[in-house]
Amino acid sequence: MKKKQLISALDQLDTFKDSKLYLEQYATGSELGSEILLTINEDVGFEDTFVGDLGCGCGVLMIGASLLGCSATIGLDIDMDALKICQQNIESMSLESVCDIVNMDIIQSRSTSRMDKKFDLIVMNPPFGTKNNSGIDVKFIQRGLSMLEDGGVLYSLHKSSTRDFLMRKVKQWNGVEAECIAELRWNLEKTYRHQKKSVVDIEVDLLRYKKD
Amino acid sequence: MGNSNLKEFVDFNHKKKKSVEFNDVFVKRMVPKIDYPVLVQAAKSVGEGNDLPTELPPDWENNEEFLKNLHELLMSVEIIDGELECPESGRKFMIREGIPNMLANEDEVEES
Repeated sequence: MKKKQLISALDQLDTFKDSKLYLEQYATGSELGSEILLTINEDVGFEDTFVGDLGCGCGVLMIGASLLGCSATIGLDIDMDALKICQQNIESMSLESVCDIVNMDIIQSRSTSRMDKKFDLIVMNPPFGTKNNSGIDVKFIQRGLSMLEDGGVLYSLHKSSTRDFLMRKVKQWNGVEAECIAELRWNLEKTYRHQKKSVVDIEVDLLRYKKD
Repeated sequence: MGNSNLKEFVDFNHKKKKSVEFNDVFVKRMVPKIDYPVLVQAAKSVGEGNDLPTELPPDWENNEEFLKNLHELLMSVEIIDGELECPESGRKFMIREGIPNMLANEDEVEES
């Protein structure tokens, strides 16, 4: 699938109706989503894989992964309102047999241990941890790594300003390697009332984590 | 799915099936990840997977008919409305509009 086609497919998806600030809900736009997904597809390939999307929100990444050939994907999110929109998006793309979603608190819930080592690939655009929830980005990565099969790969989007911190963090984890594989720009439209500018351009990194 | 002792039964009011093209590579990749006997048990509780044996057949890798049936079960069946029940704790997880709600109660969360 070409980039143009992927962008126009993802453009059709609905996004958050009322974004929840405490969950740092920002929709992954179709252009950014396509950049992320095509970079991953070139890097490792979605074909025949089982993909997890942590904090899937309205499902841009999991649906995009399905359009690029993954065989099955499960999206996990704490917010049922977002998942209902996600479910509509899945249905509008006729991807019900490929995409499943579960309402779950991936950080707190014990049930997540049942997903340990299940996924070939994990893609995520987690909260950046800049809204009174410092450290949640690292918790998402750690949870994602535990759900990753040995030899699997996790791709996660982060603010470039946190790269040094995240790279130092990974040195504390045995058997995990991280690398920034793409520097991207996130053209964020105003989502919340407190934001002054209508559009902000944020520098973001697509980080790749590999587990032995 | 599940690698613990927790077994799940599924009760349902509404389910739907959608045909999916067989993918040999994918289903072979999934077999080691699933707790096969638990999957079949749960499937049978909703009237599915009746053509699947209760234990994983030793020749599963080369048994195309088995792989096709398993693939269909994994991909085609969707519970729209129902519940998952853990027979050990008796805890029920609701499924509404096709979305299982696994949000834990506060007394069940662990410190992270």
